[in-house]
Amino acid sequence: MLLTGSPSDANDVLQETAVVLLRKIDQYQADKPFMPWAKKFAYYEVLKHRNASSQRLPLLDQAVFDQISQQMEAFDPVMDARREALTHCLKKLPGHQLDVIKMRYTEDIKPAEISEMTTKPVQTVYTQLKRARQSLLECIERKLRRGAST
Amino acid sequence: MSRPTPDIFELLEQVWEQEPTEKLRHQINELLDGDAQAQKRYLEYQLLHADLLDPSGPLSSMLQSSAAVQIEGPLEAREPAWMTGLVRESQAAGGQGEQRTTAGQVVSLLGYVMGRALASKRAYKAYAFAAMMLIAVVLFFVFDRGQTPSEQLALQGPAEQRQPDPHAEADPPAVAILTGQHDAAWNTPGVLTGNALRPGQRLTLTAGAAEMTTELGVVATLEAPCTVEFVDHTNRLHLHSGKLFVDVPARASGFTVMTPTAHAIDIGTQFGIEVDPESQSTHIQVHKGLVHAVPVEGNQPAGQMIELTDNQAVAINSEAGIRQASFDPARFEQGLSTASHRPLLAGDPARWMGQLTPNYPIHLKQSSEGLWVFAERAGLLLQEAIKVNLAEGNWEDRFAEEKPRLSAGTRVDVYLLHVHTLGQETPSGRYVLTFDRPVLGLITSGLLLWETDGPLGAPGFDYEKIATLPFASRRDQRGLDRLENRDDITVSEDRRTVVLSAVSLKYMDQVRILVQAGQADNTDAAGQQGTGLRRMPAEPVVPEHAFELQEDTPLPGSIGDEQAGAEPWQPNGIPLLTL
Repeated sequence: MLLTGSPSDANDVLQETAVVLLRKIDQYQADKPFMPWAKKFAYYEVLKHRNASSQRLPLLDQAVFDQISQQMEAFDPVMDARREALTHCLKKLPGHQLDVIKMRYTEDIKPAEISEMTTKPVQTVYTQLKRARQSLLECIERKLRRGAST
Repeated sequence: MSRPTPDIFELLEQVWEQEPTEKLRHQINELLDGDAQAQKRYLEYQLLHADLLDPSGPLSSMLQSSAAVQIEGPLEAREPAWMTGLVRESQAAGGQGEQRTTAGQVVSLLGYVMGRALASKRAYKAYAFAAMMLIAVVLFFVFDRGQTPSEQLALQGPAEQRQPDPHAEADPPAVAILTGQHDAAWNTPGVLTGNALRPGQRLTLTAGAAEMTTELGVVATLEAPCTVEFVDHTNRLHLHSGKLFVDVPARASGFTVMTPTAHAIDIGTQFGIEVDPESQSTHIQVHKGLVHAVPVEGNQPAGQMIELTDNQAVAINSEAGIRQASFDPARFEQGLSTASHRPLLAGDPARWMGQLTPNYPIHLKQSSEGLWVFAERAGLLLQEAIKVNLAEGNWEDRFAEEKPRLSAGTRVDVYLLHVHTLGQETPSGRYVLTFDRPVLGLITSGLLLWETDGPLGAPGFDYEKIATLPFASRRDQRGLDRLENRDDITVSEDRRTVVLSAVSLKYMDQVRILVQAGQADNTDAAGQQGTGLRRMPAEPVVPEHAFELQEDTPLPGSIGDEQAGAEPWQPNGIPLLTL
């Protein structure tokens, strides 16, 4: 999804990638790291997907997409640390923000419906979600910069 | 955090929930092009979404750990059983070769991608598919490279706390579950409601009554003193002595009770059977439907088979063979009583599960699909008005903003419907429930279900466990699908029949049904763990099947064809007698 830009596209690509991985597993050399190898195929599949789904414009242009996929290599080592930091940061989120985040992400409720349930204007829900994400990103950043892994 | 202007975060926020406009797309690409910092923030932003969506990610883990959920046994993992099985198997193998990192990485890659895929409508399929791929990949390593790296599986993600039970595979699969007890005492200790009953198990009920539900939905009510034994067949049961009343749904047609002197093969719905402990004589009486009875000796047919229908009874013993006996409607009082209070279920497979028990999520994991109905409370007096989704005054729009209420002072019986298909889409999934009393209200939304667990749920049952079921980590998935409006629930005009058409069962669906209470004085006994059975009401309530099938919507296995549909079973060479 980091590359496809949309969850449903990611889904398609996932399936394709898994199939390709399975097909190509014999090409994998045990002494090489697995992730880059697997990612290479994921990358090709994303490419293929982008070509195939021409009726729906991907978010990213090809050139930008290629640049970002290069970045992913460098990004890889910090993914776990970010996730760990997120665990910590979620606990610091104000209650009302955590509530909308829960509804949106674990319960898959659309903002319009959250608005209906909480009797808050839909714009407020969008704002709350946005603020929550912003706080989380900033908190993760702080946490990583401090280098604290506890 | 320094931000370029316009900020990539702001732009991505705008496109996250909706299709980007051409202008936005252009802005985003322009911003990202050649800007490593912006690209990094793009990845960070997408990763945040991904981690939040990940069912084994920080958010879900936090919600689950706050629920302090502890499920015993080998099925505690949130993964499907086959996944657990794989882990267990590979642990038994005990290998830990050089592939360990690799396998771990396979897991994390696929787990990672899976988490992301869950945002989509086809979330489950993607999950299952990826999980299958994972297994295929791991198996490839195991078999093709002679390594067993999958031990590492157990060290990944939520599997971390898993303690596979080494004895788990020694037990034969359960053929029935103890679904209710009433003042019951057993010859062995530790017989609890919710226990799995397995082939070879022999149980003697020394006092009270108990209810068992088989895999196919047969409900057998035992009255003490009574000894039963389970055999290696889900549709058979040994009755050594005592009284048994069975209620057999259409799909379990052929259910056979074996006694020392007879086999009673159910073709219809309800019959009582009793074995005299002294003479071993078997008394069989049919309350409704059709039963074939065969005298046996040493488990071999020892005479002609007889066909029994409504209100007919026979006594069978080795000396006198088959004799007509008097039909005594009160003879199987307890069984009849509980049967008359139980909703009638149609739809395949649909199971009555009696009392909601602490083990309930575990049982559900053992089956891949179906509808279960649990009794949560009986004779509950509402202390305050309860918000429901559907009730008198509004049976049509379960998404209505103005929720109808059941007023304080109403006395209700509460049932929990649970449809769980482990992600299989069941386009024809239709279940019909007919109660013997009017339905007063339905709770169909996930949020309202969680809210009413306290006031309406079974006391002592930890409802947070529901959130630990596979693919139930999204809390609103508990209710009917409100996003796509593809699940439908209707109530018949006489308010006794509920029809659930669950066409999009991505995770699981639950509905709480409030029915007018049958017995006002049930309050004390009702709802307590281990008291799933109800006492005989002063006047037995005979269910009326008021629901009529419409001709253009045939319901396989529904109440309407329960009696007509079954082909009478006839053992070879045994002539059939009728009374």
